[in-house]
Amino acid sequence: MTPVIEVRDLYYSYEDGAQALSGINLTVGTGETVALLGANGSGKTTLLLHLNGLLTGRGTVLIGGVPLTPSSAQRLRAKVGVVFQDSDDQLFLPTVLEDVAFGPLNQGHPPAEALRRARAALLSTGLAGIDDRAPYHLSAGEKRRVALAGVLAMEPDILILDEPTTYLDPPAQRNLARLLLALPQPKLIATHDVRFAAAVAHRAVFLAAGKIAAQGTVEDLAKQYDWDWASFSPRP
Amino acid sequence: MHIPDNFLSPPVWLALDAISLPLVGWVARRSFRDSDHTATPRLGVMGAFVFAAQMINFPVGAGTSAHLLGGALLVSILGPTATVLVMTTIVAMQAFVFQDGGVLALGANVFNMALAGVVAAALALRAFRRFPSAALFLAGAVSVLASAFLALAELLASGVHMPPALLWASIGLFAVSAVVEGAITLAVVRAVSRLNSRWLSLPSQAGRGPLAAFSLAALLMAVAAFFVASSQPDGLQTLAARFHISSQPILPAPLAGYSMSLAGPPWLGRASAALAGLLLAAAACLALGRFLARRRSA
Amino acid sequence: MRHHRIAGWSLLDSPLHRRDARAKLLATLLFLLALALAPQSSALAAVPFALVLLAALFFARLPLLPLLLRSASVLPFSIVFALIEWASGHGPHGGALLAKSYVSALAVLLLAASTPMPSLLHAMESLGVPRAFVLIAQSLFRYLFVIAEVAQRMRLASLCRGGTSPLRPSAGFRASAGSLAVLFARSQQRAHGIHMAMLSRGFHGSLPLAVRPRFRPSDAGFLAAACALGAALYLSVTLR
Ligand SMILES: Nc1ncnc2c1ncn2[C@@H]1O[C@H](COP(=O)(O)OP(=O)(O)O)[C@@H](O)[C@H]1O
Ligand SMILES: [Mg+2]
Repeated sequence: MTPVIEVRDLYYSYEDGAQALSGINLTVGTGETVALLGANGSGKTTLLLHLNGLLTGRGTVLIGGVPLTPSSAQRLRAKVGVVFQDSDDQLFLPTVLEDVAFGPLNQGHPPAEALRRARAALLSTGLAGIDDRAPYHLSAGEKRRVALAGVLAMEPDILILDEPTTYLDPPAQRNLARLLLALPQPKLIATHDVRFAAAVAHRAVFLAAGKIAAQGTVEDLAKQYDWDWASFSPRP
Repeated sequence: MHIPDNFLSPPVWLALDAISLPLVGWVARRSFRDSDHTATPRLGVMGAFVFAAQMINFPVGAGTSAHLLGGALLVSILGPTATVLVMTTIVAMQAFVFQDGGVLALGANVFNMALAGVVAAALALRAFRRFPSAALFLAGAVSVLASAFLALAELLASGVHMPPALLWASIGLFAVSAVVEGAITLAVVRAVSRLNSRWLSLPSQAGRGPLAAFSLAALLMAVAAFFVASSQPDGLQTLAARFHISSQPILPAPLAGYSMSLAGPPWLGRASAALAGLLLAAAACLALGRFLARRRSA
Repeated sequence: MRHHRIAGWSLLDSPLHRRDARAKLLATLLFLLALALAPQSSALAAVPFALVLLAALFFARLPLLPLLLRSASVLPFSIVFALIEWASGHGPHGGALLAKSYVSALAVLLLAASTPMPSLLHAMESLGVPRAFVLIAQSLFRYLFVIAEVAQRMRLASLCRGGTSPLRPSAGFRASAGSLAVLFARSQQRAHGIHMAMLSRGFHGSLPLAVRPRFRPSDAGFLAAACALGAALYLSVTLR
């Protein structure tokens, strides 16, 4: 079976010379949720932005077996839904409903159909009844779910989430985990929250300085890199 | 310098609406056609930055503080064309949302702040690009001077009375604001370039043209400003007589009676005296810019 | 932020709020035009206009005093000029300037307080304002809060650490320049993030509109009434 995401030998350096990715190889299979662990600045965001062609480095990215090129990017972007780390980046329209309908409208759906999809997505993220609210008045957890709804409304085949637990308190994190577990799409989730990763992901890859340093279960990687609070002994 | 509605006479605001609104519309349509318009929302964020930047106070001594106006700063970051678009949007938003500046006077305010101020800053940056610090200082200063003097001239041409003492006081105030804006622009651009010099888009080459244009524009404006200023030796009465503004008969068409009589022999002598004064002031400005630049880079 | 409250007012419901934004925009322009062309000879000329506005305020079910106070932001400028006029013996003209500029500001505020920003922008676009301005205004309006909040936090942080000391103005000046540069960097980052997020949801340069406003017969009626009223107001103060 073709993997939904396949990355081969991906290198990328930013304009100012910083080598952000050096030789990434990664596959995500159908129905699989993969956690992308790694410290701040290890290259998680950079890698995710390659998966819908917003950045293009040296190497190959295949989405559902189709190579991602500048000419195929616009089409493949509809299949790969990216939820950004900062919801304020994503929610730029004046009302929640309009913002969620933005993607479907860009896909060329007529307004009525776009609104229907937007309402369905809001319902599936548990946000019925806030259609006309302004995004900047929502709580962090609500914003995150609106951002997710905006992506789900495009009915993507693959979900990519960049540090989805940022700014969320534990109850909101649990809500989000439940929501993600209920969604059927394969997912790639960048995070440095080990417990969240363990709750939602089948397996994990550990990114360090632009390279995949290890792969395995979330628990193993957390132990290996001393990332788990469980091994932390606070007071003597 | 946001002029509210009803301070400008109908011929003045109508003329400026008719000039500047189609002009900025043309700039918008042109730049929308031949650039990647998916990036246009980024300009809005830059506009929001200018708004927010005005919340940061700069101490300017004597216990007072000032804030950035932003035209010249935007020019040195976005270049003149994009700055015209952003400044126009800001001025319009101030009029419609904050009641800061009139809606009928929008053309005038756009002309002063989004066109003349931006063009003046861009010309200064080009003309003096060999001396970047002086260019930045001057860009900030002349953008404020251009906007303020135009606003003053429009008010005077509309028959708003202004005793000479007050006129000179406002000119002094403009000079102070110009120096402050120049200093802030220079300091901020330097701080930005320390963070990441690729954010700046300062002109890389310039011919004689911009320098000549800059000088010519400065000259014209100086003559115009000082002509207006010195044309009213005894203030109000002269103006009232000249523009037939106050105590107009009520019935006739509202546009009648605003004709301006420009010619007159005595203005020539006064204007040339004014010109000499202005050249002195410009030289002082330049020297101050160089001095500040040297001190900051030291 | 000052426009938080205007944004709140604009979401209320009233006969005026329900009118199409294009009709309201045109009616406001007509009103301003009639007022501007009315004679400048005395403040009395503004009275009928003010009465009409007060009636509209009433129909819009907006709080009277806050709106009256807010449009007073035009007064500092107007009062200075009115005083000058008065001191130079043109008292009535000064009074007219004062009254007319205040009434104009109130009229524009009424438009902003009864029309949500997105509808107003859309109305402007359909009346010929180039899309570039609409796009810029939309993201400016949206991110004003976000960036102003950053500025506010930075100011507090600097105060907490004794940043602005009135005793050392030069140090303060440089510190302010530094924090403005950082504010710029954050805005730049924000702009980049938004751009990426928009592209990844398929943005290709035009903001599609989910809910298309309709220009109903009642809006046409409103506009016609505004025309008639504007003309009547102009004639009433001109022929008097
Ligand atoms: N726009 C950018 N320009 C230059 N360097 C960048 C940019 N974005 C990220 N980097 C650098 O690339 C590296 C990887 O960053 P990033 O992918 O954001 O990491 P993560 O998401 O894991 O925190 C970091 O060293 C960061 O400093
Ligand atoms: Mg990241």
